[in-house]
Amino acid sequence: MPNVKPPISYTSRDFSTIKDELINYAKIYYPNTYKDFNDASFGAMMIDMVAYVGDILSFYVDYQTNETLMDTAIEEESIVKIAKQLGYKFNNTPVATGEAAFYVSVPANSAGAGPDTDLIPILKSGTLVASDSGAVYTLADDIDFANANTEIKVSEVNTSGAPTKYAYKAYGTIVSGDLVQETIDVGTFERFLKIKLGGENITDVVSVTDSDGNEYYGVDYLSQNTVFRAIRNISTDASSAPYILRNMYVPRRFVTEHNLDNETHLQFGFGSETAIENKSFPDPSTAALKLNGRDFFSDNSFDPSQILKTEKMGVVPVNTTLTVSYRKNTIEDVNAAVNAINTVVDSKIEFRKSSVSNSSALQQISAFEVDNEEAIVGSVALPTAEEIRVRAIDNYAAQNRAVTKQDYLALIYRMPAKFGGIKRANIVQDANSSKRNLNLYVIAENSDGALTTASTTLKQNLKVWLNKYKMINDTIDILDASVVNIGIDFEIIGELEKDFTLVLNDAIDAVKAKYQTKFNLGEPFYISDVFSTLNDVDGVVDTVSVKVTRKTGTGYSSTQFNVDQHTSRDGRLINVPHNLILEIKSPAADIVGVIR
Amino acid sequence: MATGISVKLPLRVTAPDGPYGLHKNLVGTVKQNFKNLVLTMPGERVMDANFGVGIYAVLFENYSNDVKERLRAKIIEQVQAYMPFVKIRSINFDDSKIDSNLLNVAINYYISPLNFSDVLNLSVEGDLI
Repeated sequence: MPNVKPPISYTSRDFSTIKDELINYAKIYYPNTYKDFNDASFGAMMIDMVAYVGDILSFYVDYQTNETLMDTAIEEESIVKIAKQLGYKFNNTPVATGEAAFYVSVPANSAGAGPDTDLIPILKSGTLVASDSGAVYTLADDIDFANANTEIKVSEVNTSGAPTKYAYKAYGTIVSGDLVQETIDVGTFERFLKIKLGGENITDVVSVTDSDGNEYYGVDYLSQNTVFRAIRNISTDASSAPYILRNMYVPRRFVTEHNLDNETHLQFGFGSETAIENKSFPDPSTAALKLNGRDFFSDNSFDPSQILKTEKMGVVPVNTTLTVSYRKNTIEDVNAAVNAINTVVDSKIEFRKSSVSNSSALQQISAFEVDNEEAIVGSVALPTAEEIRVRAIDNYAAQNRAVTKQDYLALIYRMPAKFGGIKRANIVQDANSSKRNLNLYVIAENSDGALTTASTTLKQNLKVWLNKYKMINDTIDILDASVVNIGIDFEIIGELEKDFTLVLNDAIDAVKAKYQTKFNLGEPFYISDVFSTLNDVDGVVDTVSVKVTRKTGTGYSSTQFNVDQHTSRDGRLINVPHNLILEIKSPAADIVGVIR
Repeated sequence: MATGISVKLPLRVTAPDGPYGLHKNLVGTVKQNFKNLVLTMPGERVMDANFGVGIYAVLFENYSNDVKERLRAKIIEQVQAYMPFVKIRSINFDDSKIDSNLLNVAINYYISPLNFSDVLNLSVEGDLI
């Protein structure tokens, strides 16, 4: 007799279908042994329990499979992990950057003819300043007050009118975060040593040195053995190019990993000191696959493991003490309004001439003062899980080259946080350009979470950042996008038996929730979405009207935009030009409704 | 090969049926199912939180006529939902030992398709929970 296996339906995956299948199975294969399928029977209870286990197992199989794919993952942690695999650099800590003006007063020279040049200071990077709200910012680069761009004015004169003091004003880039130093003892050799830093809200690891003075360099991936290094330009063209970019071989290196818990880890490779003596890259002829113990070969395949033999992903520190300098945010909201930064917490000063004594010179010059003439902006709201998903996929598709519009957007949003954050961007081909000129419209976010013009430094950083990736024949104009503030007025009919006040509040909350995420540049406004959102609110019978208006006046944008002219003929959507972005600036005041 | 209608509780090895005995007639099967229904606590059954009369819960309440009425209504409701072929004729409570957390219940029922009447006697003790 042939061994016929009973069929199993693998498409039955939930409780009810598994239960039905089990009942059918029992009816077919045990017709004489079991006949009682009443819900109250012992057998029905056993079938329910088996179906329950099957349902749970199916759920976990589905859940785990979904969490391994970027498109279907729900857990933020899974999305971040997959995004990292795709090369997306995740940092859970916002960074703001911008330009601040620094002031110092220098005495006149002994002849009374101009300032004493020996006393003109250099304000060193690492100088700390603070805002009214207590946020600390670090000066990113040295400011040489002897630079030709420095503004100089007479600040004090004697009784005869001769200048006795000169006020100097120079600009420098500041980055949110206090500079913190941490020492970490490292023991015996450990492959792929991973060190957790003690601080939280770390925005950037600035330097890592061991007790022998060896410096370790942060790289994007451990297989990357060179970095670009900025070296101060001391030649005559220093004013136009203060730093020279150098490519540098770095056998001692690490990668920085941030996680959702605001923890930061340093990850090293598994090479030893002797690896530095080896060649930086293996001889390609040795990289062919050599199979020992065989007198034949099928192909001289390229063996990637041969490459790894040189440095083993960089030298790992052993039996030493690492000194790690990093920047960490002191408060949650690191953006600062205009003139909010006004305190120099700690100044690091140097004088050009080594013969000048620092202590005596410091007594002669005034204390430094600081002010920000433009807002210090960066990211306020961290990217949501959905935003990380989209950015990671775009980032992967871009492959570190900006060719398509999506590539550009992915690269813009991927700019390291220490250079500032662009909230929304749009790139379009300039129709008026005979070349392939591209217009890039950008907008940032201020400390209140409202859209604001990106600072000059932020745009400058963006320009440098894109230059690294853009096609050689692409020319880009970085322009400010314009904000159009809108308000929504609606009228709804409520169910008679419901409390109208509660229904209206729910309706307003529903519209607020709908437009919680900022619009994109050029994104049209679908009026029909407001209708459907309101109609879905419990207690709303119907929506009578929805009117979108441009908000004007104090606090609102002055961008000219005629809502009626841009509304489609059927009244369902408002078209928005590619250089404009809609914003509901103050949802509490801008979303208004009536109920009847 | 053993033949029967359903598994007989409590599970016992029996000579003709093997690892566990089987009910051979519908009357015994219905009686056992009815007992399951009355003794199961709501929420106890997986994926069906409404199943069960939950008679044990009564033993922890202040016993009164109101409680008896609620229990009676619950039994009738559960029977209609899960064993609609059974008609309840009467439910009698012997609460003489209720102070000792012991309740005797006699449910007189009628199985319509079989045209058969029977009584389910239950002694419910509080320390069983």
